Amino acid sequence: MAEAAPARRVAAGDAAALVAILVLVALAGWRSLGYGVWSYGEPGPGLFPFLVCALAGICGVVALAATLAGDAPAAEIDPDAAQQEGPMMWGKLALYVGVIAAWPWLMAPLGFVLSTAAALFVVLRLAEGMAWGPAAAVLVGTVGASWLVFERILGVPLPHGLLGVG
Amino acid sequence: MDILGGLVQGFGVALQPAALLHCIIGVVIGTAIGVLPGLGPTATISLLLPITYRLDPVASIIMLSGIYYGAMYGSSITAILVRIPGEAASIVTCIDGYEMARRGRAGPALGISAFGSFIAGIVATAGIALFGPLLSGVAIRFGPAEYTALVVLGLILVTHVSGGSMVRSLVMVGLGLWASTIGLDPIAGSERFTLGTLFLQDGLDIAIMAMGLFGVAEVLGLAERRLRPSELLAQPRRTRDLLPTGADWRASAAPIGRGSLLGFALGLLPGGGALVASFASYVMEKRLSRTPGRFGTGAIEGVAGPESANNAAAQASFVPLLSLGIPSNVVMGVLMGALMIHGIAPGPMLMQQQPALFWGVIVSMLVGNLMLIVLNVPLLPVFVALLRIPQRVLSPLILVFCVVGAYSLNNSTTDVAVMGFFGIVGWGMRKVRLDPAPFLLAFVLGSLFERSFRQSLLIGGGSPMIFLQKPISLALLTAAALLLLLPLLRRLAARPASGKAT
Amino acid sequence: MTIDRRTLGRMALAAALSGLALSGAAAQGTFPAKPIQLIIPFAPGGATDLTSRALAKAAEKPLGQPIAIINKPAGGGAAAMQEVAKAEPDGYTLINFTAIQAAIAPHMRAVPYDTAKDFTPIMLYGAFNTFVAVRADSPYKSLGELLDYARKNPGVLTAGISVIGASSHLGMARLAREAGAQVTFVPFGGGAPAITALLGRHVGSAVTSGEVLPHVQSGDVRLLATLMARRVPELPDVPTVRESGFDWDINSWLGIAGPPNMPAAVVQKLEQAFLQAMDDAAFKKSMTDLAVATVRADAAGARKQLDDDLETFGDILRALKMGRYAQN
Repeated sequence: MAEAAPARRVAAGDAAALVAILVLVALAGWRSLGYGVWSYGEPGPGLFPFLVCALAGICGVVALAATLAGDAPAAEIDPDAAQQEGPMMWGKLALYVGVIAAWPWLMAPLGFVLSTAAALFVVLRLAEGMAWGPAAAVLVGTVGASWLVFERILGVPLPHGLLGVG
Repeated sequence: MDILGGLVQGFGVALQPAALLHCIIGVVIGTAIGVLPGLGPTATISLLLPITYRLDPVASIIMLSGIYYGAMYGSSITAILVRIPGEAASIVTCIDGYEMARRGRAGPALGISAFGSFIAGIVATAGIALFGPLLSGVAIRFGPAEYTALVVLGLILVTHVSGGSMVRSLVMVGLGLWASTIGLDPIAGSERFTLGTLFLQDGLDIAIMAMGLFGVAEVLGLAERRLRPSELLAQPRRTRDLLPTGADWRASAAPIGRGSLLGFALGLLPGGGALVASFASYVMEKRLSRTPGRFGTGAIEGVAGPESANNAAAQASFVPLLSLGIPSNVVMGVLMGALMIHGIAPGPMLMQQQPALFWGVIVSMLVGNLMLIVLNVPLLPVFVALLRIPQRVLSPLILVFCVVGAYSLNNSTTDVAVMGFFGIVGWGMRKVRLDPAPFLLAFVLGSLFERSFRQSLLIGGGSPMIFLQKPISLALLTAAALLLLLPLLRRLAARPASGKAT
Repeated sequence: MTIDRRTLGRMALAAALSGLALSGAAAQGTFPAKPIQLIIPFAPGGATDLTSRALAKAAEKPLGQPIAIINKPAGGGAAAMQEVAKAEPDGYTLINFTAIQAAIAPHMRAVPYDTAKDFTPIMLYGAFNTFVAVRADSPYKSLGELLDYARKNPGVLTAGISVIGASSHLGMARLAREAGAQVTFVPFGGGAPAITALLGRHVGSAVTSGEVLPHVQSGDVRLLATLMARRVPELPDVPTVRESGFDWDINSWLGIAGPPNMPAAVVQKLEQAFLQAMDDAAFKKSMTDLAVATVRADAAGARKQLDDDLETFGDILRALKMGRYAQN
């Protein structure tokens, strides 16, 4: 935790994230001024967003200053870090991110069954490197079971797409 | 009617076979939909309404309320096992519940959550029976000014939830509050930050963001490096070893008691009662603990307190509905619709006109909570066995669940995309040590905050003095100020002393 | 949370429905030959949702096909309106058509549809009651007295409403403007919280729909007027806005519509089925229980109501300088 982390080291990622947040709240705060902060003796639509952007901005500057000064590195909040070992597996991570990013766009045209099968294929075979047999079993089992539970039992109208079945 | 007579009548109603059956159906459905991310009690109750037309009103309300508190329990199961909060009130449970599961203590976490909920249920039932009609007046005393003060107090508590630095928590609180303003302005109805899109007009959805920031981000976090093999098989298999130990009970007893009382008090208020209760309890336990450093690393108090609090609050929220006709949250609103369909107007007259319904529903909650324990304790090994599924199978399963859950909210693939976006952002936030919990909690409080803040200013003719003129709001704001200043004062007091020591 | 799927209890209903579907479809031969989809532009559980579900359930019998309900509340219902406006005009995609999305929203903000051209109104079945309410211990016994007070004390009278632009808000704003009074509107996001605030003395008056009735029965709230054209049967003592000296009323109607250019035969079939469904006992009960007024209009009547109200609400909002006519 915080006490154990080495002091006096600037965390570049933290600083970049805080700068990004500052840019975001600066844009949002500027935009909220345009919505009207006060009119006819009444608070306008922009007042509240402006105040909270100011709060985030001021605290963000303080946090950024602390990060750049390299003192008091913030506590780790990643619950997985302690249980993992070895180097970062960027390829695997990129495959997961790709699946998460592409899935919603494929759901409507392909339908739930095909898009889920495609997503699971990428994750199980390519990302996790599972053998063909187990991968096929997990894929068919997951797609079948989730289709049965959601479409049939719970009546969730899943997108039908190419196959014509949810 | 006297309380004892009421309770006797209530047991008479709730213990009839038909009522028992509907109670079981309700809590089972509730637990199931609580476990499934996305599907919430509001939707389920709305969908089951047509079916309850044919039931008698008491049985249908018993079943529908069973779904509500069953879902409260079910959502803690996924929060503990896979870090997906099924309901907003379980966000806090994700923190220490999930850490306990990682340390091979999923069983005690699930167990204490069930027993804590049950004890909170008894406390809440007793509270309703003893004070219900008296307490109902509390709800209408809370107007916009009082709510604003309550939310301010809640937000200060939020900054204490995170284990990280206070300043960074405040940044996330600010961002969460800002995120809650996206969409239509609650007062003027004009668009804000929608970038011209239709889907942002409704604002962001808490369930979508929670699934992304916790569920999807967790999947990504698990994918980035190899797991140490030894960590995976640490969960015991026998039910006996999965129950909370004597030490667990000793650590949890006081948090459960305090959480129940706190939850009951906050649950009486319309608005975010159950949610505020859960993290207020977490912060209180952390403050009172002699070892606050354990919080965030699997402290059982951090599960026992909030889980008791949200259950007590869920039950207390029936008081304003049944005795005043005021729905304190969306679920209560739907239940009110259900009562009206049966020709029963919830309100001041209900207790006199329908004593069997009032007391029957109250007692059925006690019965329902008992059933939740009876049903779920034998299932502990099954739930825990889910953790034995290898990560490379579990990760894709979580993804499929989250995708279907997000889609089913509004039948929209846009929601799935938004969830994915927050998943990737959530993974990044962990890497740069920014905590998503204060962000989400502030988001939930944000719309209540802005609405009541601006309502107060409207009522007060533009002057913020209204917050100081009302006694309840003044008291709450004073408490908030103390809470904010206390660490500063303590540090100021401590500084000269430590200066001398070195 | 705002969710829906065909129905959680579909298993339970499926048996009953499929029997109907088989016998009905075989007999008709033509429209409808498959289940009809009714999109509700609101979250489940509200008065609009519950009454239109009851109506759809009752219309299944004359149509001989099940009606699947999908709630799509996104964008204040604008997404659902857009979807139906662009749907195939074959009669299998319908929308729960209300004054809120059809006649008021286009004047409040930019919407992705043109109500006058993009829909085929099929029928109207009801309208929201709108009441002006004060606490029972308030000194004001009539609408005139309340507005008098608001005229003499500009901005002091607060009125709890659900949202800006709701028919309750527009009605009260018009009353205030014509009486030369200034009222401070406080939106609560729904009728129930506005009533709660009224009971708790946080606002001086509230303009709400039927959800106020239990509090009238318990004697906590007094209704000064209904903004509808006729007195409400259950409340014969509450005068209408016309009886209170104004020459207008507000009709926040609820109905059914489909995409533009639907075949006349299909429109007629649906119109008759839904009008017939209004005689259903369960539907009538849901209307009474949820305090929604019954308004009966066929396709032509619905069209006229729509065209009139598009204009009327536009005039009101222009006069009040609100929504798209606001000047900052």
